[in-house]
Amino acid sequence: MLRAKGGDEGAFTELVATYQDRIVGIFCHLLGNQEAAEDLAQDVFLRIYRSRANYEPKAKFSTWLFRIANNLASNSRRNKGRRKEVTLNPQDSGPLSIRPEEQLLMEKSGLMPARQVGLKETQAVVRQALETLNERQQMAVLLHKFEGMSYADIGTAMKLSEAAVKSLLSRARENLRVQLEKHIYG
Amino acid sequence: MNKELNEQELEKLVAYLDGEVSEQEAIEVEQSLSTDEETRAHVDALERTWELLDKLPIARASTEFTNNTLSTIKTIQLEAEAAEEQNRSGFSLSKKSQAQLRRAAIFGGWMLGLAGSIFLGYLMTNQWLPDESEPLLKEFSFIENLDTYSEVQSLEFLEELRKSGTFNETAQQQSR
Repeated sequence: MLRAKGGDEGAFTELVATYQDRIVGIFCHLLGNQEAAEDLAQDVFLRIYRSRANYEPKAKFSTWLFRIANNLASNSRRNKGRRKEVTLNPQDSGPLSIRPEEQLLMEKSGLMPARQVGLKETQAVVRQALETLNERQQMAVLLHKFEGMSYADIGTAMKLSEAAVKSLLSRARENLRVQLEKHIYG
Repeated sequence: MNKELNEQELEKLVAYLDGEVSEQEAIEVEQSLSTDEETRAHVDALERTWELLDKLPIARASTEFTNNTLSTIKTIQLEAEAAEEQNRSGFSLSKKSQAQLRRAAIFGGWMLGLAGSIFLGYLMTNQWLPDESEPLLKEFSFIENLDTYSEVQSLEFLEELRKSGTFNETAQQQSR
């Protein structure tokens, strides 16, 4: 990032290539739509590019990156709420899942192995459970689970105290446990 | 899972699973787990739930994402630079207009000065140069009765008329 700050365009390209999967991954989980996730991820990199001259390496770069991602995700959801748009059901589109009718067709035609059917079902159940969490709980869970971020780093990224993150994650995990209780020993 | 954990207990257990407790707290949790089967089952369920998240598909950026992102950024940057340039040229245009306005103001000033000078000159020349009509105006009443005065012919004749009282009689007749 410091090289990109110094005007090294190649360094910025490297930075995009290094973090793009992680950012798109988080947004895909949050939005349930690859296209929307990539659009938002592009906004994240655009913001980083614009503010690269003012970047101060006070915290880890990834923490700063996920802070921007968290801000954009919140704004995106807020704007969606304002426009009263119908939220995209992740089960309806996107690369994360297949449509139920397609799944049914595949199952009937015997194209999908039983193990794969089981996995798709589990994924759908887990996704639904994740969607029952509120926005902040979802983000905290994703940052902790998929980014391996500490409570302190999550706090920095989400502008929360460590104690607030601790409380947020414990509630989120308990909610998930309640939602998935029937499936954990399956 | 009958036992209801309070919020603090739950936070401590989750933080323990996340490796976010001190060594002392970890020992406390482990001691509690060794004696409390229900809490142990709860922790086990929390762990298994967490593991279920691994089943979620991992989305990756599309192959064209890097190029798309970089070209979008480049386009936006170029647009911003063009807008900035336009703003700069817009500013110099207004400076140009300001210079034109200043020139017009100077020209207007000169014209006003010239008009003032002409007016002043007119006033001055009007005062100093003799007016040919002025003596005529002064003698206007005389000129007006010049025909009457011409009929009188001489002052001596008027003196005789006054002495004879002709003027007094005429005045008395007019007053009646």
